Amino acid sequence: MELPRLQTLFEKYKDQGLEIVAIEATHDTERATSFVEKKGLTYTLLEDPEDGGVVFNIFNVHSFPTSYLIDREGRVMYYHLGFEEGDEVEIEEQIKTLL
Amino acid sequence: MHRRISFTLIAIASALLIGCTSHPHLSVDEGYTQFKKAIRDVETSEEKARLCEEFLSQFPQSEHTRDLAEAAAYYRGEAMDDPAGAVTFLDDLLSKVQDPDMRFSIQVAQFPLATKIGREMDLGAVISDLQAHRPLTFSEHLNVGELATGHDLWDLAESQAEAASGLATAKAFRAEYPNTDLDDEAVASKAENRVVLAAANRGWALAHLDRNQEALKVFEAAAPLSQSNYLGVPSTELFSYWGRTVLDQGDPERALELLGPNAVLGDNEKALNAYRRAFIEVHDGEAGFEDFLWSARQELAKVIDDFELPDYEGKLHTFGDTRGKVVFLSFWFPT
Repeated sequence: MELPRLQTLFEKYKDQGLEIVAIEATHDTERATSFVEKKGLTYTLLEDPEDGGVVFNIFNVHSFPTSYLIDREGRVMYYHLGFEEGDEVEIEEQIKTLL
Repeated sequence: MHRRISFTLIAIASALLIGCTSHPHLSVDEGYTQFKKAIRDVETSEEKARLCEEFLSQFPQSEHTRDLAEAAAYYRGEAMDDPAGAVTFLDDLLSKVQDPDMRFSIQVAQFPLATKIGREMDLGAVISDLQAHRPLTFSEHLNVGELATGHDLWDLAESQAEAASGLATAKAFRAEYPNTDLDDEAVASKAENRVVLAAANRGWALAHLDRNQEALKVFEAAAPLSQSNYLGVPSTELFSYWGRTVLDQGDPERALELLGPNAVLGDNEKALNAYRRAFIEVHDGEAGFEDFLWSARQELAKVIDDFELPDYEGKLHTFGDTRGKVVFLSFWFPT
């Protein structure tokens, strides 16, 4: 699962201006919160209360996880589908180019 | 060696477990409810593989056979890197399953693992077996074709993509999804996307069969129907395959144009590698590539739409408030 591995990146770069926002699309509050607590995640975690309303209607995301990397001006500079073991290396490289 | 032994131990353990806990009159639904509950509580691929295999051993033929055979193949064959163990398990499952649909799914899941351990499997025969009972759907043709592509079986890849393109119509979509809520416009859009998906794979196979002119015609004909994702990146491989084909044919400038959107915004490593190669050919070297990539990215990047969502305590967050920071935004669901 990618969220705990993002926590490591968050702790490493938050002082340089990295924010991480994870949006849960399924509105399965109970499972999501227990997961978040168990893994000790401290970045911003939001839920889409309309069962994917924002996620599907604005972003048209239909495969999970999908991730966007956004620069300081709010532009999406990179996206990443899925999350395999080791992907965090590539993501870290991309984050570093924007910080 | 070590892996074989541990697989045997797990098999014995599961056999014992089933012996102890299974109820002779447990229905498929009850068994599946138990399975769903159990799989939520385990973390390792080993435990997940074991649970899938236990369910399939107990209920080899059910509506869950396809999904769980795929899951078992993934957890044991890929995640635990035990393709031999997974192939053996699926062989055993096949010996208990007569349903042609299920046999097809099991064998499709088995194919890459069997290939990995050097066992020959005739993918064409797997398709013919199912076709003896019913025609394949668009997705089935497409998926088997992609499997063939991944294993350099280009004739098969081409014929499957061609068969898929025959089903790239609104009529075929409605026949496959008779209960769809989609209106005519949405179905037409699905059909157009099918045209592009099939053309991308067919053109790529033709290029590998040295039928380059046909490949280019196929790519070009489908291009106007190509759809893009939220970021404006083509949502299929069409432009990526097309760009790589023209690059191999010695037109790196055209390749840079075609590959651009897929290559620069991420997540298409092959398009990016071809993009780099095309740049090197045009500019006689890699110097300046990173700057070129960066400016191409600046040109294509769009400002994200703002939105407001609550956190788990109900507090509303406006995404725009993160402006000035670098944000990694991830859409996920708990598994």
